[in-house]
Amino acid sequence: MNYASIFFDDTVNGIGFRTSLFVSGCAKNPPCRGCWSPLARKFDYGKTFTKDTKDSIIESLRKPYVKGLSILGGEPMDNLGDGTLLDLVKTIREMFPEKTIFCWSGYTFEELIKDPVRLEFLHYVDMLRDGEYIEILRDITQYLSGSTNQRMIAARESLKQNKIIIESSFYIP
Amino acid sequence: MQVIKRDSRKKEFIPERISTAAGKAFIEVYGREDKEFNNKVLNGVLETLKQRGETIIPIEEIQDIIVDEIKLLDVAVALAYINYREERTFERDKKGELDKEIDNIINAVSEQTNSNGNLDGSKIQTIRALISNVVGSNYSQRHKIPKKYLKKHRKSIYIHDETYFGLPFFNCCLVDWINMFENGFDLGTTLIGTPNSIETAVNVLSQVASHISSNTYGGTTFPSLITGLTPYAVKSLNKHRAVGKLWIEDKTKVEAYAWDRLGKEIEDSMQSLEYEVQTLMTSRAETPFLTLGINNVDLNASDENQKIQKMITEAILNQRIKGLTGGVTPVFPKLVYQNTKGNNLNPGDKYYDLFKLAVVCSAHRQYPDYINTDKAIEVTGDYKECMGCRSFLGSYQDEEGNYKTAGRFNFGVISINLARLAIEAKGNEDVFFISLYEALDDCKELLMIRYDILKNVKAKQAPILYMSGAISKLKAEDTIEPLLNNGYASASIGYVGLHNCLTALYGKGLNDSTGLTSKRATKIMKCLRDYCDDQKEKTKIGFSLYGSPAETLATKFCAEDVLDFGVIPGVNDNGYYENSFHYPSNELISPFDKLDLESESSSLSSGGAISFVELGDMTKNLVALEDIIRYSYDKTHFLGISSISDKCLKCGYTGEMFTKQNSDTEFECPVCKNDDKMLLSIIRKLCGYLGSIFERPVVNGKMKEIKNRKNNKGCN
Repeated sequence: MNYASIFFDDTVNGIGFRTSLFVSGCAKNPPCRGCWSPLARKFDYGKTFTKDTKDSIIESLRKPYVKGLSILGGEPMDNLGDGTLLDLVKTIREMFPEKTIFCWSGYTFEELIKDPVRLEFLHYVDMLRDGEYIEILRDITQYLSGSTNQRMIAARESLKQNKIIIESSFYIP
Repeated sequence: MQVIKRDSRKKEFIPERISTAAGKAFIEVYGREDKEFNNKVLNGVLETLKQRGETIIPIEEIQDIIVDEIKLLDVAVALAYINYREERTFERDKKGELDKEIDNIINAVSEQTNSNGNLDGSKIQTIRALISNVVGSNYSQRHKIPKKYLKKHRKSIYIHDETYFGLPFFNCCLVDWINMFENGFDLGTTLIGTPNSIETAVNVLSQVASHISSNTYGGTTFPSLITGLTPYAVKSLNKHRAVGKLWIEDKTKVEAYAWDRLGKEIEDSMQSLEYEVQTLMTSRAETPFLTLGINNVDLNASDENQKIQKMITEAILNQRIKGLTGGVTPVFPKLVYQNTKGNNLNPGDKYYDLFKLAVVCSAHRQYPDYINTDKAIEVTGDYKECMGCRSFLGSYQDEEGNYKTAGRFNFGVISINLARLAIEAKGNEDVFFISLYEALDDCKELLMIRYDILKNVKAKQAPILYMSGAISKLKAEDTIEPLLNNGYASASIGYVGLHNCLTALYGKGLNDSTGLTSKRATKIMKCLRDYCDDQKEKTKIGFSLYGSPAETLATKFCAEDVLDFGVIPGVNDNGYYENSFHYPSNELISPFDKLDLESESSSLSSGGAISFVELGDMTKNLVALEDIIRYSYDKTHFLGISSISDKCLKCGYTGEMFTKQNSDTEFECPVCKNDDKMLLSIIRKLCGYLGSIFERPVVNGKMKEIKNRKNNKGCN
């Protein structure tokens, strides 16, 4: 898997200071109109995710003030093939059970759970920001989202309770 | 023959003037007159003029001929003449400059117009103040600042507030308002008794602020507002109880009524304080540079008093969060909030919820800034608020050994241009340190001149300060000299551009992460600090090291150095220098790393320092804001939050407004694309204070720095 960039001590993508991983590659065809990172849609964009990359992410999460990992893209859900991401979230869940994992996807929750690999991955995601970016519904004032159709779903909890739980507690006014 | 004077008027040539001028130079050297010498000079000059045969000649050329003639007779006298001529030229230039500057102010094109974010030069009411500023500067330059320092002024050193250099004002202070209010005081010609309610106390507070600001030239801080206002809130509470008892029989209902009324009274008082301060105008045509200290709820106070203190804290913060009409962020007063482990800083502390409220307030309004109690004690000796934007006093104990903080002040700041000294040293460390000591001596000498000017000030000259108790209670004819001694007041040596200095000297600035650079930085900082400590020890005057705010100075120094040395990449090519010990604001860095890196220099600058964290819109990430503030507790005594919470008054969007492409000063709303300056509220940290970008135009260099700032939104 390739990734476009990693931000450390990020304050924009989620609660608290976080490590944010932007993976490369999105299979959505046609892509969302007004895609914010067209370059990162190519799967060979950026750098290869290596063991060192993983270590640097793990290392950053050791800091007590880093509240968790945010996975953005590209499209994380189109990057599960080689098992890199699943391995990463498994390790984090094991090592830092108190830290949260946020994930951004252009697919809806309902679409994602149909696929067993994606479903397994979702078991490790605390917050899923789902749905494609629809330009005519653009609203930059909406928390962590680009357009009003997108939802914030407590993924792990939703799977446990077998119903979609829209997570509002991620937002602190 | 005719002479062309400097103002290009033509006048008849008067030969006697030549002998008079030569005579003066002769007396200067030998202390006696020699008519024969004067005549020799005159005859020589007349002979030369005759040979040239011109019928009209400029005055400067005649003077050149005079110099040549005297040189032939006596070199020492010639030098005295040249000196005299230079001084006259300086005087004349200054006078000419003054006229020009006044012209510029009246036509609103002066640099003075934008020199601090708090003076709006386009307004008629400001013109008189601006004119008095240039007249004051001009007077200081001609009569109070020795010529040898004047040559270095704006180059290697900077005399802050030179307008006031020759005047009997001091800079900034911590007002002893608690003492004033307890005992009553004279305000102008009116005797004010101790207030009997919190509403009155707060009203009197803004009156006092206005008076004090007109008698000083720097920031005015009202320390310990929370505990200080408590007695008046108690009086209010008891009044409400008395009223309640008249109408209500049920005792618990009386109590509920009284507290309810008190809450409302506190809220109203804080609201009027906010508006009154915003709209105050000092004799300098500025909004007073006012700072309010939100100190801790006193854990040793009675339950009732703690409850009241909590209410006052909440009222001040909630009022600020609400903003002014239309939700606009107030620029003044600056709020500083006291963080203390065991009181409010951590979950589980009794007043943790007040800290959280302060965090919300900072996210929306950038203020409060935070004073970290334990670090403040370590750095400055005891807890106290900053004076104005970042100046801190050392500790002072009275005869009984009690720490005294309020009623103290700073009487001057001279800053060193570290970058220039480094450029001049051309990479030679020894040369740099020699010129650094020279600059330090210059600063000290200038501050001693300030001391001499102020020591003769009599208490009656500023009764509100020296007789009413804001500073002390002296008798009318007493001089204030005792207040200047034993570290009661401070005199600060500031510095600008540590980062640029390191780059010029070693090729690597603060953004170099090797330990070597930080060792070099420490060496320079220690040298500065040791000098101040040493002078304090020798003179018993409170010399202290100050991380200068340099709101416009950062630009002035840089521009001057570009003129003299050209553009040097990495050193002066930005158009401004970094403030004090600050990490370059255009470099991306984790705020945690920034606080780590700046910690030592901030602690060494005990006379004043502020560490900033540059953040984006934090209103949607309070957890992060809280974490970084808490992290700063062991790193710096004073933390400033530079977050972004702009408001579009057209569509109501709150968040970051960006500058348009190819512009440093044109902003637009990212949602509705509104770019009407009247409908955009854009507030930025300028130095230690906030500034509204459009209401108070900022100097270009500062605007550029603001645009270049990298917010710590995350880093690679």
